[in-house]
Amino acid sequence: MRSPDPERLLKRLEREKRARLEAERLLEEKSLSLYLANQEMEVAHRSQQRITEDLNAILEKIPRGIILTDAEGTILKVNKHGEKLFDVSAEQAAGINLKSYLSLDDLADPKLNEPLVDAGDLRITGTRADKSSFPVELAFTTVGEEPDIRVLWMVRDITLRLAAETEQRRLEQDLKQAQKLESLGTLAGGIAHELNTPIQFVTDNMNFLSETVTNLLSAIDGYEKRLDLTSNDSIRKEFDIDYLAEEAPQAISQSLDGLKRITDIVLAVKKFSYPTSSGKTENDLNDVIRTTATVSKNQWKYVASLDLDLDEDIPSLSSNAGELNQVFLNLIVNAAHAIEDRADKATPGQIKIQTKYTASAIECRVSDNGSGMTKDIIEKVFNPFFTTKDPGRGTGQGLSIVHSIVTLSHSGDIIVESKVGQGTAFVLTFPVLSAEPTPA
Amino acid sequence: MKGIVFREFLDMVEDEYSADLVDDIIDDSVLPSGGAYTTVGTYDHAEMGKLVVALSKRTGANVPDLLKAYGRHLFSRFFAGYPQFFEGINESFGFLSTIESFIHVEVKKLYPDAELPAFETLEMSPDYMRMIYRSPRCLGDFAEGLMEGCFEHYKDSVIISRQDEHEGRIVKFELKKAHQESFS
Repeated sequence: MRSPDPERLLKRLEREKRARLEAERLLEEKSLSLYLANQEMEVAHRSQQRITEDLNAILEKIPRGIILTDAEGTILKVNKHGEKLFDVSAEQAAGINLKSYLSLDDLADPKLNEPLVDAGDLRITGTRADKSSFPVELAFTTVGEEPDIRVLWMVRDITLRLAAETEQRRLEQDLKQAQKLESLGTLAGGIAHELNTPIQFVTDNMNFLSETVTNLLSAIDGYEKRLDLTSNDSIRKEFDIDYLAEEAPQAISQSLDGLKRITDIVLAVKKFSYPTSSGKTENDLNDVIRTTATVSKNQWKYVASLDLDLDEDIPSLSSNAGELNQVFLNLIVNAAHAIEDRADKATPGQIKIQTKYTASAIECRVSDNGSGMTKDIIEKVFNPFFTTKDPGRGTGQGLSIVHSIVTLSHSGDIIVESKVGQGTAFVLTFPVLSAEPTPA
Repeated sequence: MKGIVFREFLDMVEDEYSADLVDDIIDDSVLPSGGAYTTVGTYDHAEMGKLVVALSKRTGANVPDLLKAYGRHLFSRFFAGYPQFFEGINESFGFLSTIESFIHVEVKKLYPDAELPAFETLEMSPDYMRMIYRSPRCLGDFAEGLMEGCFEHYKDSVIISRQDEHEGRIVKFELKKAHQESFS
């Protein structure tokens, strides 16, 4: 074997030395580059960590259920609010299809495969772990790219909002109804006022006619006696004087009775429509009750009789007559409805209103022999919007308003006694400041 | 051009011919680097041209054949040095289709300054493939040698047709797998 040429060996050695030096230089350069890159990565990592912490905090604190699924709807992650909404832990929910918790089939063409599609807010139904359901507002958007598309779902429980919206609509309806009733009240008051004058002169004229007819009949009798005419006189027969003498005063008397009733109704409507003041004045509670009974007669006269057992010795009550009118109107109308609803149609319906003075308070009892209420209903009867009546027959506000007027406006008290099938009684107590009863 | 390409070339010359021939072609080429290459360094690609021409003169073999031979040699070295690029691939067309989309991407991550040729797949079926090579270095023969090394590795019999354009800066390859007929 030929021994290597020393000159060649030296050249090779020189090349390898230069290569080694070049390699060391590159290694040093690369090490420095790696060191700097590592420094940058550390800064970037800390920044990324901070961003991640912030995002996690936002996700956990945001009052919306945030759920991450794959494109098929399999749950990957759920935030704290989502766990609370569906009453399930993130661990339990992971791997389950979101359809178990949301009625996604209600969504029309959600286009999950298209990136960055935001379906906006949709209203569907959510289902908790215990299978109870609740209304939710849903928004979703796709994140990532094929083949790793994921879907971010944002869920909000809208139970309270829907209830508030319903209440808002009812309040708006009630307001409209109240405005309509107020207009009708004003109109009725105006009509009553206008009727008052003609009724007055018709009544005066009828009284005048009554007196005149009596005088005329007396005059006829006087002339007959003076002319010595018998009861069989032809003129008397021709004009049927005997009949006129018997019927005319009766007709006038009946007309005056009718006018009296019209006058009472007109007066009651006037009082009901135009309470003396928006504030409190001294009022006779019995008078308020009579007025309301008269005004509401059309509500009860077809189903019941209304008996008033009023203590005429009760003192006047510092009160708002308009509000008290409303109290008794609601109680009388409720009583009439309860009688109408009862199963026993044979027994005559009866509404009774009693007043009495007990030491320092006026007690008023409004009772009926209607359908009565169960204990469950009695507990809720003064709650706003609670009603057992069909839509259009009651808003569930009447007894709530009664309670408010009696207890808040007049510092009184109201209790209810009721038995199913036997009837109901509302007992109202109004404190009287004056110790001595003052006859109204 | 990365130093590994030069080191592997010189190793091949030493293995196939002799260490003395390596000295000779380095001396003949008058290289700025002096032929002192490290695998991770980067050198002027023109040095490779000079070395191949010098080898051709010394051995009498033509340059294209030498480049193809080197391509075949380098492929076997790649397989030995970077087995992760071959995982899950069991035939040649499948591997060639990953060069641009995967291997070059990974090489760029490791060596951001690497100047790599484009090796684009135009059409591919189980038995037929069209690729296009683009490089200002005009090393279509070297690319063909790499392909041949790939076919040898996967034991695929493939007929290579090529069309050089723009003085070799663009080379279109048409590859057809030849089916072996068996007679019983």
